[in-house]
Amino acid sequence: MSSFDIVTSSFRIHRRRGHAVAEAVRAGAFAGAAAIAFALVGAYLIMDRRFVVEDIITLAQTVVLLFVLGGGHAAARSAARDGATAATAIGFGALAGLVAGLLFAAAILLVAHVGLRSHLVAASPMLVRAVTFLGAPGSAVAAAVLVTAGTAAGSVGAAAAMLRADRRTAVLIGLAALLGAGLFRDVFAGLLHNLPGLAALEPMVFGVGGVTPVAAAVIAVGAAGLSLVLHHRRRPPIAASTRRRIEGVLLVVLLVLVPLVTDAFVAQVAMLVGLYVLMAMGLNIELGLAGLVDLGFVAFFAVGAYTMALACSSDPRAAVHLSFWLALPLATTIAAVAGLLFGLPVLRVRGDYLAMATLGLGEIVRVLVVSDAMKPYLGGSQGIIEIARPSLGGWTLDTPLQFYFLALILAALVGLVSWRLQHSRIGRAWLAIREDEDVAQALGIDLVAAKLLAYTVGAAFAGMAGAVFAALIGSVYPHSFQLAISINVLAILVIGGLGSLPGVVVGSLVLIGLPELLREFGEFRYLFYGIALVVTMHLKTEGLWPAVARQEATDA
Amino acid sequence: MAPRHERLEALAEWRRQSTWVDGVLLAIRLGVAATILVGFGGSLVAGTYSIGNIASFVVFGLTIGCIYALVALGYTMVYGILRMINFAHGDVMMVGSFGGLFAADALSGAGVLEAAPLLSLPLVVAAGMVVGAGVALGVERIAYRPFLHVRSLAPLICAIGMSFVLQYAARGLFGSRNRAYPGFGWMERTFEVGGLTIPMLQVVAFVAAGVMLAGLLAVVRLTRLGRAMRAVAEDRDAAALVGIDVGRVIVATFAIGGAMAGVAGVLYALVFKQITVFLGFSLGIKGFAAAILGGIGNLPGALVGGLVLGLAEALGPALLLEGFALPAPYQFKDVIGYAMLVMVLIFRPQGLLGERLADKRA
Amino acid sequence: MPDPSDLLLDVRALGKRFGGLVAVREVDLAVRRGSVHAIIGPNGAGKTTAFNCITSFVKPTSGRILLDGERIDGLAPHRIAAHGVARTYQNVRLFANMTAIENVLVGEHLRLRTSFLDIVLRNGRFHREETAARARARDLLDFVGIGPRAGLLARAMPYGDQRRLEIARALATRPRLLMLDEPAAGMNPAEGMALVRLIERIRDDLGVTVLLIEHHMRVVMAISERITVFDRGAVLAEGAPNDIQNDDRVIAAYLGTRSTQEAHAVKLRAEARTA
Repeated sequence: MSSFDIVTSSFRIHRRRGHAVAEAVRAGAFAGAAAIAFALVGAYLIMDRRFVVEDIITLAQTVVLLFVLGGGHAAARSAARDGATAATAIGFGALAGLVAGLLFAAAILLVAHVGLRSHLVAASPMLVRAVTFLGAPGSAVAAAVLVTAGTAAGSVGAAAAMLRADRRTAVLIGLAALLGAGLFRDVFAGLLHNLPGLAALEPMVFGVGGVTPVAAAVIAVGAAGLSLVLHHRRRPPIAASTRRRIEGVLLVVLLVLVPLVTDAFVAQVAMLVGLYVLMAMGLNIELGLAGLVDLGFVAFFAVGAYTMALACSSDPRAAVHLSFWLALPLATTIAAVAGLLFGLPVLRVRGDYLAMATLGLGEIVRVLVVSDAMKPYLGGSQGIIEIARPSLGGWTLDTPLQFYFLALILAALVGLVSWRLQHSRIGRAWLAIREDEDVAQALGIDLVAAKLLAYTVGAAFAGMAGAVFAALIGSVYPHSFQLAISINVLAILVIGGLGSLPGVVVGSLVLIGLPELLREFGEFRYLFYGIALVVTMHLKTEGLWPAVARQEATDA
Repeated sequence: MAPRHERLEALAEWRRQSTWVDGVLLAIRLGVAATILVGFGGSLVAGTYSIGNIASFVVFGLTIGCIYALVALGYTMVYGILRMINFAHGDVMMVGSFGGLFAADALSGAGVLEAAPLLSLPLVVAAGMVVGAGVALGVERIAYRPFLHVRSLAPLICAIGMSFVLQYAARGLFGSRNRAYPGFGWMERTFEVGGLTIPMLQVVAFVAAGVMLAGLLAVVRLTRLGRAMRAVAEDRDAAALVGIDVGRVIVATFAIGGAMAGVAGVLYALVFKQITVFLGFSLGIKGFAAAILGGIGNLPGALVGGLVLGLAEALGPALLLEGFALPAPYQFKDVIGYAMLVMVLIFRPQGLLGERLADKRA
Repeated sequence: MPDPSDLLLDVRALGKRFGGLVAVREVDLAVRRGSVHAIIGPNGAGKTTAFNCITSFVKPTSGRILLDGERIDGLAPHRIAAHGVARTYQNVRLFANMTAIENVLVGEHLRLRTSFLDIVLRNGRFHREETAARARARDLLDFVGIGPRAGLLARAMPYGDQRRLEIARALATRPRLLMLDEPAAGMNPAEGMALVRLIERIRDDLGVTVLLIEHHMRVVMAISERITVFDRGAVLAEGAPNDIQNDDRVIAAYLGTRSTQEAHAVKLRAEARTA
């Protein structure tokens, strides 16, 4: 049915452009509304605890300012497009900031003085405190400060919009570097701590919660300067394929080296990222290559995990007791068979309907696994525990870092197989099916065989990930196998780029790594996923690291 | 030719044309039929439930079936017009349900709810409708309007994203604990009829749903907007050519579907007492199952599908699962709905009453 | 009635209804091996539906279709392709996001012998088969005349080249019967003649039987050995080109005589002058 359009979407927001003042007010209103929404959803409360710059500005305050900055930026761009001068455009930006500030301040005053807490759980005094810059929380002074800060932020955003492109990029890069340093404080602090010779730098750069003021200035200015320098150097022409190769190598280096030099927490996050990379490569075969929307994917992960559990633990339900290295291929194979069985009934279902059918099947599996009826075999809601760790000779894998490298090796293997499949007659057949199923059939491609193969291979990879997961955690509980995981993997693919192997890695880093590293995310990670999905579909349908558009040399 | 000869020929013809996949599908059909027979037989033999029990299950099933039908209407209308599934529809219902909650709380605080529930009910329902319609319009604007002319999976992904946004934003806004509607005065009672004890709220919900459904069918049949909607569902380009503003019709469709979902949310809260922000997911799937069961794009089909699904869910554990002597059969209640969905999608995607679309524009 | 053993494609009493609409009714078609056979007729006469029945894009309601004596009606489309039937489409249906050579390589799918294991291990057989397939694909692209454009994305190609690519892709399946649905649509007379030459080469050099639907009478008359005329779902006439051209019923339904055509042209010129 529908082939996924891997080409950039041609969608552009068409709005009738009103008067510049109206545009500015509109931008400000949007910014204000967004800030208020974020506030009421409770995000600020968590962001209050982290300082971007130690003792000067928290993440919560930064986010408020960023919203307003954005509003001012948009207003100024719009005014400039209508031919206003720089000064006027900045004025409009200030207007947008004023509107946003007024709205936000009004909302905060409302929260501070009216009891909304029974309905809107985040509307608490803590929220008010989190977004107060100066003055007593909830007072008129604080509100005035908010409005002023808003206007100022709007103007700054507008000014940034008026800069020449390279300077604007430099400012953005400087700010982003500062924000990144503050947010990822733990990662970088750990890095500095572990790298030889740099340990002494650590207390100078990072405080308890964020970056020290001096370091903040250095980072921001330094990054901005670097950006300017890089922009203006003479660029030697590099062929697209060479550049891609360099990017790929850099990615690999990053993946291998960084976890080695940071602390255990980062290693654990890396481990989780590695698992999702494995799983996402599986779904990549099904969805990215063959175009099959499988929302019940988590079932294969579960099959692999439970197989490992039943084959490797000292739980009485365990049928056999194998070593990890035997149980792993067993789990992979059984998951592959599951994929075959799963795919058979839904072979002829297409498009959106396939999404719902696989969703239903996945949910049925989940209910079965958690049910009391299957408890004697699968452990019901208590799951299966005491799964043994993998060991080789006398050496047991028990740190997350070691598991991470196991996952990395498996991912490399799986990636190799994926790549080879993609660039073969099977891969071409899958692509043909995705493009135009009926024509593919008319050319002799057996849809059944091709689709079943996709399900089988995809399920095998997921099962492998599940087996490693079980061994890592040491136990399996049915509550780990929810629909949300299928959606996570789907989001990774979509945002990284369907059908693209580096995209899978990037997607996992962004969607799994980021929320884990930034504890602020907490329960909001799914909100973040949802927003990321919507934004990606609107701005860059083909993902962050898109599959290479196939252009082969004529003399290959 | 003798009939037997013809039948053998037909069989040979089927064997010539079919592949092993058809054989597997046939085996699945037989397996499901056998399972149902075994379960049903076993339940009859076990005889755990009396006729009175069964009757009360039926009443419950009809009520919940009407709620499913209201949700299914939203799916079916959107699909009829856009040929796309609104993945976020269940969450629209959830938000509508919360909208009703706040209205009910406000009325309760003013003492009106307790004193005059018959007056308050339409107000609460209206609140749910308004909120539901509003959220649905937002979903249309963000997840569907930009992709009207692009044939891809992007709107589905976007809708999935919106579904998550709605669920978790609601969680942030309203908290993750269960909420309950305040008491509706005399409607909280039960009454006796022919030996059955029926909660009045169920009857109220049933009647309210019926009124809404009748109203909607009237709109679609009798008004200009309804005609325009049917025209756009039939052939979007032709409708545009005769001067129908397709964009406005789409917006209206989403709004009406969202309003219906909002009503469903309020009624659900009345019947089940507890709502949570994660309500939308399973209700959404079941609503979709009801829509598909009846025939997507087919309005009476949504009603039929909803009732069938509701009855199946209410009677299933008693009449079917009981026969398998499973521990805790109620855990499989949802499986009945999911299984019906999967079976219909595989074997008869056009549903019981058939798709109103001539053939899917694949 | 031609000798059945001469026939590559033998369609008997083919019928297809869509609900209440009868699209094709009691159609007989006899395509001789090694020939070029054309189907003509007004729009909506059921020509493409007949094609769709033969390739199993839709299942016929009644009738039989035999390819070289073997029944193929109702079989799954990929099995029909394996039997040696390939087609092109009225509105070009290429794989838009694949390059020209990749499109043709998809056509090679049927004839490639690499297994799953061969692919994962990238062994000698894989490399041999892939190299041979690419060479064959290149040859086919040259054969249809778009060799230099092998690396171009299909959707970036000009229309005429796209049509040729579709033919190359169909030929890659090594069919015995090639079915072309309006191959000359949108072509000017020069391109039309080039197409005629291409079809001749397909028949003579590759030994492939060609069945085509076409509206361009010049092309039809230039290349066909036999013509079947469709009208309102049934066969109106069948025979050699000259017979068809002079058949009264065909003229009335579709062609028009030279005299009626000239009269029509005179009328149009008169109207244009007075307007």
